[in-house]
Amino acid sequence: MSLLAGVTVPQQGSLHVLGQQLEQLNGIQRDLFRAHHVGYIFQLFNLIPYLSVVENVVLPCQFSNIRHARALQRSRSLEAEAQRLLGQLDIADTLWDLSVTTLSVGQQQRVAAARALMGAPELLIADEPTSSLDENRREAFLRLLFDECEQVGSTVIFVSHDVSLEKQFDRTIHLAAINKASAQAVRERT
Amino acid sequence: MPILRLAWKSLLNRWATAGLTLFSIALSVMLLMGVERLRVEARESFANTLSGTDLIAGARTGGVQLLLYSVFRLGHATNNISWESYLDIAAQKSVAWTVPISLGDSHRGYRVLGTTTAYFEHYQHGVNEHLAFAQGYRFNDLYDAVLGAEVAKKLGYELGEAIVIAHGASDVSFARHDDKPFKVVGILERTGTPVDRTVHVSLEAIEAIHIDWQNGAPLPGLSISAEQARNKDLTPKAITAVLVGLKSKISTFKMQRFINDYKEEPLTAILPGVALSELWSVIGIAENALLIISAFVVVVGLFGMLTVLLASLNERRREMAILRSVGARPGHIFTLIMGETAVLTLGGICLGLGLLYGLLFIARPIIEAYYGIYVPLGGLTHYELLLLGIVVLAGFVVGALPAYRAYRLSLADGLSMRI
Repeated sequence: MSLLAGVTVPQQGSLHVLGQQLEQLNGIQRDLFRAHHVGYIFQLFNLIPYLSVVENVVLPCQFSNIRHARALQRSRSLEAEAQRLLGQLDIADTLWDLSVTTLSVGQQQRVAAARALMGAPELLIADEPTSSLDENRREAFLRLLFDECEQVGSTVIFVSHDVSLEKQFDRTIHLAAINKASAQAVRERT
Repeated sequence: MPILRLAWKSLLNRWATAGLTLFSIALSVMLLMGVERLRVEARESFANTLSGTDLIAGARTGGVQLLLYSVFRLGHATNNISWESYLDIAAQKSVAWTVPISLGDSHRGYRVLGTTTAYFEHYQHGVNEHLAFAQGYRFNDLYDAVLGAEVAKKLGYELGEAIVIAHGASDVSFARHDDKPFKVVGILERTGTPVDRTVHVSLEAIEAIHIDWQNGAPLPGLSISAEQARNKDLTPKAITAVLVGLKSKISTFKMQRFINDYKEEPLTAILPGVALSELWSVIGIAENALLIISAFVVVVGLFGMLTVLLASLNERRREMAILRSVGARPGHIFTLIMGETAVLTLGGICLGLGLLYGLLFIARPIIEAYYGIYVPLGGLTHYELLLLGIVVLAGFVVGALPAYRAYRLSLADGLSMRI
């Protein structure tokens, strides 16, 4: 995921994401690539504690003029777009201007999803975003996430230990199956 | 720049620690600027203790010592100038005026100075400020006395009061000139100089109260009453020092050489300005020590900020990872921490200056009344701006440390959450 997000570069070989050869970009260009094209959801603690709900959602547009412009295509202001996304993800408007620390874990994850979708990035990477949610909440979260991604037109890359979620995705890859690095390491050792 | 707004909000979120840090910087800045301002004004007021006088002449002694006893009424003269020598100096062509002074007696701890009415005409302090009377007038009668402002206030004297002069400088003198009491006829305005702590009488009065004395004690069996003394010859035999004003500054050094080379008796002449700055260079060490101490207080304040910022970094690694995930570059992280530094340092300076001016506004009349130091409320001087510039620079240097550390951490951590 760090490779996809452009935080780290492959030691060998080549990595093409959205037509970009990431290993040829320098650090600043990769940071810009992430800012423009990638939404990211962490497992937990996604939000900046000293910003309000809406301010958290608007954040990606402050580092990317492309996402800033795209958000404005959908709504007349960044705040309006943030509020629209929050509404779609079932965050009541009474919560919008509150501090994020007052939100439940499930609400925080949905706010994080709204932020990742802000400005319609092509790629949405989610690192076990549902692991701290119970089963009902998990279902609802995924449904809302998928609905919104479909509207925006983003590709979701979703990492999970929960095999029961598999049926909801178009494609699944088991990490063990593609982990050639460790397989090679094992071979070299024997 | 949005990242600076983030810095501001992050500080607001930690308002208690941020506020205390800002306040400690503010206090240290206030101390630094306050000490600097007092230092400058104290030096100024010291240098302005005596002005308009071109030369001070006394018996052969050191320049600083002559200044100490003739202007600051500190210590004693080891020797006197004879009246003849004084007349000779006063008669020189280049001399415009002279003020003879005679010291040695005291009143309840305050020095008594015998002089002529020329003293009220020519004695100047500050920027050519003459002595002014708050009440009454110059001494006229033989037993008239004019009090400095502090003498009158501390001892609660008013016009018409009778005072007794003691022989010698000690407060507990056993030998008093109680047969010849003086009447207070004038009280001077406050000057912030040693004049405030002086009792002024005429030279003849000094002569009169000592007329029946010899070797510091009354002559036994010989008592001359106050009224009898009026009829005696009261021309002084000697004086302690003489303030000299010249017609032209050009002749200053010539006149000084004339007095220093005086044939009849060994004399010393000093330029008050030169001697004052010589004396200040001795006292000035304390003044510099004070400034250095307050500079260190600023350093301590900045280190407090460093501690707070560095200590918060570990808890903020998650925040850094989130910012990186939404597209912030490590450079943004650096700017975020530097922005917080800037807010704390600049905010601290502004608050410190505000506190300083508030305090000065309240304390100014008190400082002026008790120490005679006039502290202006005016704008910042170039030197003060330079000091503030150094504080800002030091703040940024100190802030660069946690900022660089945050930069390194965010490079190393990437998007991984370290908690």
